[in-house]
Amino acid sequence: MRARSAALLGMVQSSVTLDLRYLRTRPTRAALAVVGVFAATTLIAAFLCIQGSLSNSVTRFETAASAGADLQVMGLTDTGVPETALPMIASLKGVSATAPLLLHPVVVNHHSVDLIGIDSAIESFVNVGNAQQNTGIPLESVSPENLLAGPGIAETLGIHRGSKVLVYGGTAHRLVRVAGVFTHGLGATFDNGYYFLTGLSFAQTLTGMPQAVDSILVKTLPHVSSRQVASQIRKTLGGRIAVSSPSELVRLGLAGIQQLLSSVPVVSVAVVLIASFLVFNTMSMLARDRRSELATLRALGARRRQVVIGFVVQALLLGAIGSAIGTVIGVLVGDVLVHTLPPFFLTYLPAAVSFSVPVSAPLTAVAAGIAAALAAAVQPAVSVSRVAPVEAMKSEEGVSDDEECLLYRPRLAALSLTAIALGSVIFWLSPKTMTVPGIAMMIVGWVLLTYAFAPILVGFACAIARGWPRTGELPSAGLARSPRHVWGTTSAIAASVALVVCLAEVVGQGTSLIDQSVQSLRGASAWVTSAPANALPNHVLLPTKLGMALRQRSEVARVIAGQFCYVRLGSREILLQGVEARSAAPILAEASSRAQEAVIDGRGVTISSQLANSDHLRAGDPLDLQTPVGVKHLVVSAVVVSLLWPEGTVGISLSSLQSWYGRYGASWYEIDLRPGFSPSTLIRGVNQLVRSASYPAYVYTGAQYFRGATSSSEGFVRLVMGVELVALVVGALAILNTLMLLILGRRRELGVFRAVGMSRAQLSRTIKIEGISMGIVGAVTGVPFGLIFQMFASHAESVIQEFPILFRVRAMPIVVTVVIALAVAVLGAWWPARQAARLNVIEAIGYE
Amino acid sequence: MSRSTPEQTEFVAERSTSALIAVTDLTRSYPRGGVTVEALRGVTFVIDRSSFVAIMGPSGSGKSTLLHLLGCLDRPTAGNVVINGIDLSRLNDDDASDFRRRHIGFVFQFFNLVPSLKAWENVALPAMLDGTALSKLRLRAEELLSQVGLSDRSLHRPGEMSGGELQRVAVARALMADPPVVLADEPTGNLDSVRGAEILEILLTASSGRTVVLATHDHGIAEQAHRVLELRDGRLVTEGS
Repeated sequence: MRARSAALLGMVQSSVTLDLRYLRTRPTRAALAVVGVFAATTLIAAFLCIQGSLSNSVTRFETAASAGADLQVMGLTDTGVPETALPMIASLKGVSATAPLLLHPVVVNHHSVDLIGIDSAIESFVNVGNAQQNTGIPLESVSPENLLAGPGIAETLGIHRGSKVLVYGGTAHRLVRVAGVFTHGLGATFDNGYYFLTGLSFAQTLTGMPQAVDSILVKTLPHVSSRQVASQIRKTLGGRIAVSSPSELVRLGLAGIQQLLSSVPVVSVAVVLIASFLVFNTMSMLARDRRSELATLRALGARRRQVVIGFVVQALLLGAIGSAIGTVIGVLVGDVLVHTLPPFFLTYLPAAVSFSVPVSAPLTAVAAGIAAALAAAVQPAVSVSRVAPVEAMKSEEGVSDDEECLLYRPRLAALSLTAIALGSVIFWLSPKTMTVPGIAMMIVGWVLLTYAFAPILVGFACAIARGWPRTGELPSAGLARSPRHVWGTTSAIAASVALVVCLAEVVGQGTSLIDQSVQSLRGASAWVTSAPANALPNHVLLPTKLGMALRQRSEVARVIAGQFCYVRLGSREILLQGVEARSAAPILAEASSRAQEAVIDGRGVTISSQLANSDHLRAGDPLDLQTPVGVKHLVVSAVVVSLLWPEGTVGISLSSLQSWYGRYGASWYEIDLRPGFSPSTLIRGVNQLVRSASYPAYVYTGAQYFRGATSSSEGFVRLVMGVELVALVVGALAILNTLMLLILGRRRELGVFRAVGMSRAQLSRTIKIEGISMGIVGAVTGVPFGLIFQMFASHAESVIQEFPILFRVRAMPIVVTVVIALAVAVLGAWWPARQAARLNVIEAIGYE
Repeated sequence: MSRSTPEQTEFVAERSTSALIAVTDLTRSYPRGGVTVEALRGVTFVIDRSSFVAIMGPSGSGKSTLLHLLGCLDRPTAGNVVINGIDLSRLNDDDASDFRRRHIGFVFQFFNLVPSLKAWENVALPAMLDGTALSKLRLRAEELLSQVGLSDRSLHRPGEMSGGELQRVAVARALMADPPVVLADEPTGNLDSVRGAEILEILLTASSGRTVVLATHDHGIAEQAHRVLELRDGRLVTEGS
């Protein structure tokens, strides 16, 4: 038994040696084989690294901020939890330690940064005894009214020990001394060093939160259930607080970018599919190219198994090489992309983002690449296994090739339609949870369906080639000789075109929706805001005295204040918008006048369509809002399209928000111009007013604010266009890949053409026509598939993202996509045509 | 379909114990375009050990088909081939591969060398396929190359060699596994007359002591054989010596 196993292993090793030797002597073909896998794994690795960087940054931040606590008790808004809650929590059964924590955004030298306030109770959670070692600062030199800085913010602001900074915490500004900068340990790494640390009491003074903290850290006794303790805390303190575990806080922190995170698997599946077609083409060509050699090996006594295993190992190796290179490049690309993420995107996260490579990212990318290579090698390996030893007795030209045996396969068609139907049903019924399985089944079904009807695709391509004037049958015959490659190439192009058709419409509608939803912003003459227009609302409030100063200006007819406030609603964080009458804020302006009245009167609220979908609410339904002063029973006055915050937005009257949540001030002021004054005068005057302020204030005209608010959609469109471009480039690669392989495999034939009198230009044209014909078939067949996927994507967006995306067929985007795909086909055929035209005739004829 | 006469079958039964190759009622037919083509029709003969047999016949006579069946590259429709006491028709695909590797040496008309391997590696191929590490086969391979006059070309690849040299490497490869039978399908078909004569001499010299069965349409080669089996329309029409 052992001898037999050793013999079998030796036989397999010999076969592998032969296959690897073949690759070494055919570097161009090997390179073409890895191109597809390389492209796919680059994309996947980049996506996963971005996803991982974002997740890890938030996780690290929330974990560090939790300081090892089992629970955090937080306020419903950034007004925090009263300090009086501390002894109440500490006295509960099961609680071993508590500590107050203030983690609040402030503005320092016009930069938004977190301020952390702690007291000695934190030592139950974190060992602060090494503070001196970590900062190099003698403890005695740190007074209660100094700040310690993280290295990140110190570098950004150019500050050091002894510097003075202007701190604005929402009510007043103050000049404070920096006692030191953390150099190592947790102090240096927390939130990438973008924070200031001080004593709790001073932090409360700076942030205008007397006798309140942002959270109370709670450590439970060993063997005591955190859930039980959380329940006790809720019972004791009532609905004024929210109790969360560290993992829940991580989930909340990632809520804003959940859409991106959930799209990664879907994009990865599509990318792996396209790569598989490229690998399939190359492996098929390798099988065909080596058919005579494999027949010889079989004739000399190689077993079928030996030959197949060697071929599969070859595919595995090519997949591994492509994956390894692609993963490395993908990680580098991910690093660049993380550092160039648009600002609006970063504001969705509570933490500064640093690039990291999760262990799963390269492993997943490599595994996906190898899996794609192996899957693509299955059919060529089956072809290889059928090589009959008797073929060795024939000349190379006489070697039979089962390429011609591309038949209609009705059973496969039935199976594929079943897969498509099943995938469609599970996706349609449960798009939130079954996105990836549903799409994967539909894609696999589609691939099998195109294979089942491959003769139609190939016939179509041959007919198109034949239709070109002056070239006769040559390009058509060239395509007919390699039906599997034609199928693989046209399918790869069809997949690229389908992806573009689907994305273009869905994303186009999405961005239009975003633009429409904020149209009302143009209605105001000017805006003064505490956050940039292209960023999410922050916690910083503009002082009421600014509003008073604005009202006193002669060119100002009216000033309307408004406020953003993030509020915990159950396990989510929603965005409250406090508005005044006649506000141009979309959450109010898009509602009917009757609904607006109800909101301003404090009787009702408007809610975003996302919240309406997730909580199954309609106009007229009750909505209970937990506030620090008790539960408020409200009625939904209207549902509006507001895409500002993914978890949902609620519009209430500003006075209600301020009184219920104790937040006084404004996130924005809308200004209407008095007739007879020019907008530029207004902007100039407002700029002068805010220039000298210590708080951040951004001034925009209505049009500018609208453009800034829609920049998020522009950024997203650019991202999607990048994906579409990659898809089309991969389509071009498919054509280039196939044609190069066909040229390499037909060198003698092409040499004979040239020998009998075909000119270089004619040969080049022949190759181009082959490529363009495949491009046309791919583009035309990709459109209906793209429309079908668009239908599903529209449904998914409507359900998952609560975007009301409609399924629409518009001619112009489809025509543009097809034209671009054809241009891509021409591009993909250019290089192979050039290479064919430059063949050395004598070498080609003597080529073996 | 013409079958062997009872006398012929009895003759084979009597002689098979001493013969290396015994062919009884061998028939091979193929479906082709709705018509059944009978490439071989009930061929019967025996071949002794250490003999040189030429198979002759015009194009389409079935000589290649006969060689395929003798080499276990194909399966007969009827009849059987027994080589060294082993009935080839009872072998499954793996056993057939093993048999070819250990009992048959092939010399193909179109050389059929592996382009990515050096000359000595091509020679070592049958033993390599048997599971022996390539490095252990070099000495033997170079000995064989020396026998065919190519000791100075062992490191060259097929692309760097002439047709005559390629066929010499192929001859050396055929002998690597020390097979009792060497089958050659038009081994000089792709060479000029001078090179062809050289190859034949090398083949016969190197294969001395073995049974060589050679398919050819060259009368000059056939004249050098101990026996000539002439095929026409799939039937054995004459046996000469």
